[in-house]
Amino acid sequence: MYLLFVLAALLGVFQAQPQRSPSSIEGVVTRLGTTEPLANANVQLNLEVSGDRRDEIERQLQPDTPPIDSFHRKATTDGNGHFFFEDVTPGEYRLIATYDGEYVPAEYGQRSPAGEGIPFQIAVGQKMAGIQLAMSPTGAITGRVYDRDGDPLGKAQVLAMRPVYKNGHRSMTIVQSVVSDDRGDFRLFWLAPGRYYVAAKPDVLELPMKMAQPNSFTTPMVHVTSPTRFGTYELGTTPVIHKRKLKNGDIVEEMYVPVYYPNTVDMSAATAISVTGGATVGGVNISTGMGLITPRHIRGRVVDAAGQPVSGANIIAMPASLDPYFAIPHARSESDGTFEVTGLAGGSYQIFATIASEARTMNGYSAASVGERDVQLAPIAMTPGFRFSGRFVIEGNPRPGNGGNISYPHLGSLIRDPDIGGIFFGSPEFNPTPAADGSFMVDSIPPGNFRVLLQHMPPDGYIKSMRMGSADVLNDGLRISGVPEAPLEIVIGVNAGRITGSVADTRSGPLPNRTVVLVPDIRLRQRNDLYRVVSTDVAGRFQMQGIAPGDYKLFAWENVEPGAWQDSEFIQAYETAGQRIRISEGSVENIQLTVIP
Amino acid sequence: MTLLGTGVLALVLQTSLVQGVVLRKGTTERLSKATVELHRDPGSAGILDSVTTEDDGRFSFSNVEPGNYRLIVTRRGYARPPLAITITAGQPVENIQLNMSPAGSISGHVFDAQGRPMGNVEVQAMKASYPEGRRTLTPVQSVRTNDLGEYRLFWLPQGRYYAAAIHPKVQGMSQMLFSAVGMSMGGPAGMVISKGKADPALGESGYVPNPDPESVRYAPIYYGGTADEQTASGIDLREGADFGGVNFVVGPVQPRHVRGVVIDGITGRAAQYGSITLLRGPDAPRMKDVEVDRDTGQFDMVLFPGSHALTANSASGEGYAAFTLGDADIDNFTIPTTPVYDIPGRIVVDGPPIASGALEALQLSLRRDPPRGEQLSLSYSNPLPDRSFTLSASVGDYRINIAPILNLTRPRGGPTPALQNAYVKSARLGDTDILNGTLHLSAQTSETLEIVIATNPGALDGQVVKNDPGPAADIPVLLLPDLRSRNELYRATTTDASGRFHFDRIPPGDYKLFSWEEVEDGAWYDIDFMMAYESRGTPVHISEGRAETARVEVIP
Repeated sequence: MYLLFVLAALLGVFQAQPQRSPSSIEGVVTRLGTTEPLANANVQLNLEVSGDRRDEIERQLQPDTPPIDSFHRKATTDGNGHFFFEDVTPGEYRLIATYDGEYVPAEYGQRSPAGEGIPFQIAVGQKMAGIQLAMSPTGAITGRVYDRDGDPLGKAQVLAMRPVYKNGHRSMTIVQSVVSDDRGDFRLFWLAPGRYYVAAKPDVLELPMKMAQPNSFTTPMVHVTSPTRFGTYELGTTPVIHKRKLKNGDIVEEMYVPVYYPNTVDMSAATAISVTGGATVGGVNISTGMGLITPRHIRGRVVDAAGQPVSGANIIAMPASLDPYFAIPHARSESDGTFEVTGLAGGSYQIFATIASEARTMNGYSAASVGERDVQLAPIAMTPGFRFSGRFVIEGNPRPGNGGNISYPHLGSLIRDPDIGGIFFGSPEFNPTPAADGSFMVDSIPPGNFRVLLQHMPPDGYIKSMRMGSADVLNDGLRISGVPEAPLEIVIGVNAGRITGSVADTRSGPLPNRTVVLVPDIRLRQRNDLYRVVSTDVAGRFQMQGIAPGDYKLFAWENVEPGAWQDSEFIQAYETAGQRIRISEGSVENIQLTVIP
Repeated sequence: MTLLGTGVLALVLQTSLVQGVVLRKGTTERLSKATVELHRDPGSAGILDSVTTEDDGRFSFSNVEPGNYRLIVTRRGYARPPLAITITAGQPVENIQLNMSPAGSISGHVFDAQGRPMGNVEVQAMKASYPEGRRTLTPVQSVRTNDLGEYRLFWLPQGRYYAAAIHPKVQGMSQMLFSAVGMSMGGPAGMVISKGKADPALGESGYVPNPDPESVRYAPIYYGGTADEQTASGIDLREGADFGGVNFVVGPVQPRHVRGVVIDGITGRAAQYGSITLLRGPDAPRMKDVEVDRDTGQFDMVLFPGSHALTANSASGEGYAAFTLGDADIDNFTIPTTPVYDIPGRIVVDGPPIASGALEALQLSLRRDPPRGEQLSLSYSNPLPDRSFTLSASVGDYRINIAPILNLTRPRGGPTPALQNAYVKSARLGDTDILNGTLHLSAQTSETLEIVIATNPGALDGQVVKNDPGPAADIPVLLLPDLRSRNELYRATTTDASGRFHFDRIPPGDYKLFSWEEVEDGAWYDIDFMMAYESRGTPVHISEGRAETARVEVIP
């Protein structure tokens, strides 16, 4: 039964052809704003299949069907900027032109030089011709870095960042990291047109040139990639603490935090630099002296459940801030369980204590706020991790047509809240397959606050509720501080709502590639899982699935920064422009939206 | 706590004070604003401690545990190589002098084959070392070009450098780390976490996926426009100099085919069950294993242009080949495999007799010529009491190694007292001189290898003079044989306080003396380097049992 379902899905993706298909795609890649062709550009034709479905389809392919990867094709433009894909198997694709260096990727259907494109259909025998992919040239930012005495500073780390929303808050992400030379000069390059922030700090991280020989010469860490349109990158490194002996014999500690252009350590006060295609913005000079701080210490002690000191535990202080570049102060506990973490700038931190050996694995957790002085923490209890049991319950009738074998979802992962990213700090990931009665068990869960993520939801499945005893885990998160007293009960509905609709303008007609966002009711705005974001297709249409019953608002924007809709300040301004919609079990709502300019 | 307990605790905790001063080399001028970093050696690259000097140029690290460390000092406008120090329990190291000299730079551009600037290409400054007299380059600093193809290597101490440009698609480990989106790495003193999501248009490493990964590849290009380490051009960087114009053209390198047959070296027919192992250095890019047809012995290797060496095995024996691959395929490449041949030999002593039994300590072996790749030739032969010996080798070219009196590689120990004055006067296989030439082994030989060992070497006393006043003290002196391939005869020493030097136990022959004010260890192995100074050496002839004298002018 499952096999039939998958084959049907496969056929929905592309139509199997018994004989050769004459479908083809051809076009030209040009430099934006001109008719100048670009030779040697790479053009990718990628089959549009989303994540989970792709794995399933690949597993179940019939023997005589070509493998999925053969539907990802690459070509290079000739001297006339021309590309040609022949013998294209009908289906849904994306078409992207890329260039190793000087041009921003251009995707078919994009509405701005660095925007995302849309997938399109190739039918049997269709010959798509005359496509033009216009690639925007990149820009550069140059300047000089100065030290605290006003002298040029070499080997300073210089970051180019672009603004992004993280969990509804304004922040930045790193696009590129370079190193200043001995004259203090730097050049940030291959930047897609847009707004950038530039920050600098001394003590660039150096890594061994040969990892197998850790004492070999080191090279400064840079992050330079082919031009990107979007993508995020965050970097954390061990803080570098300098010691200076003053004339009176005192030893002072010093540390640098990044200074944002023009001259501030406050990310929100930084000035954006506008970079246009093909242009270089010069004179972006930064003085790192502003970033000089006195690093603070956190002292504490780790003990096990019996109150005995834990020696050799790794203590890491993760800043709660959303800065794309962050320091990771860390230390090791001594034989008496005490530890001293140095190199902390002011702010809030989550403290993680971990120890993993053959004998035992334990985790501890605390929080600290660092201000003008050192912090003494209460002892941190480390435990082997808690185990708890859980159960999935399927409630309600499935959507007609889905009937049959409804399988339970899986517990995917627990994401620390606030999110610090990475398994390293004990965001456990596991995938226990629920038993036939929907029950499962998880082990070694460290203490902390988490959001629960599920995987492999059944079709049209949604989370009705998630409770651990009397705690509402779905809305308040999962808080683990001791052995959980009750099992985690997750109730799944299998007849979620759907929305189909279109976005059109009375004058121009249907609007493709516009962003449509489903925002939950104002009382549930913290529920990340309730938001849905899609782009309209070529005909201005969109659809959404798996929507939990409730009240929502739908918005369609002409242009919007991804994630802005989670910013309460931002969405406030648009509340009245959203279309109210109520979703019930099994409903299919059909909505026509007007776009918000 | 008992007294004993306290005592034990104190021993374990005996840390030391490490301190010193940062000076401008050649002066007593102290340098402020120098950052001195303490690193473990070996260890991760994390900084254990860091101090910035004030006007007095002083730095100190307290409570340093016993162990090996490196001090890395950076200071705007100056440079010096890292200093290795060893701390023993409870012993302070208090008088460290970190001499810094004005730093130099190497800069230039990287272009592609069409003359367009290439961005994000890694350019490395490298230093040469000469194990077995053959150049190996090791990177000491690396930077990336910007979109204009410009790069600048800076804060380099003076010396002789080589440079290489490496395309980002040569996936070195550091490249992968820097672009990796989503990794965490921890070490005893350092930690890195990176995370994020890439633009779907780019591959995982942040680069545009190659249209056809098999056909387009890149290999490091050395300054001088070659892909071969051995012929890379050197850069003599003076104190504080800016050496510009070090440009590269980096283009995709077409891998080429080397097609041929593994044959039976005696019959000339195809060998069965053949296999080929490419000998390569530790950093060479991975290549596919070579497949050799089991019956026909045919193979088709795909390699980059450059120097290659391989060993072959088959039912007929062993084989070896060293070759240079240019910009074209090689066809009909035959690799003979033969059984291992035995070469009988005997030792004859010329001059004062050597105590019986002393010769049996000699370790004779054959080393491939030229030496290449991983050659772990650990097997050797000792002479029998009757002074005969047997060496075994398969087809190939060799030089003879007689440890510890004729050492092509670093010997494990020195000669015993009975052999102190012994040297190899001649080595002949039949009529062929294999001491000054190469032993070509192509078939079972009927001849005997005769090694003549003499015990009456010469010696040399000399004086180094220089133009400016004062004795030429503490200056390196090189004694190089006229036949430069005899690298085992190279000798180096340093003059004493009055500029005098002495070499003893020199095998008789023709030599040249060189002396430089400052020279890098091993620079004399470099043919390019020596070409410039050849005429400024002092010829000297060493005879048996005599001490010569010589006067050498120093090269500034």
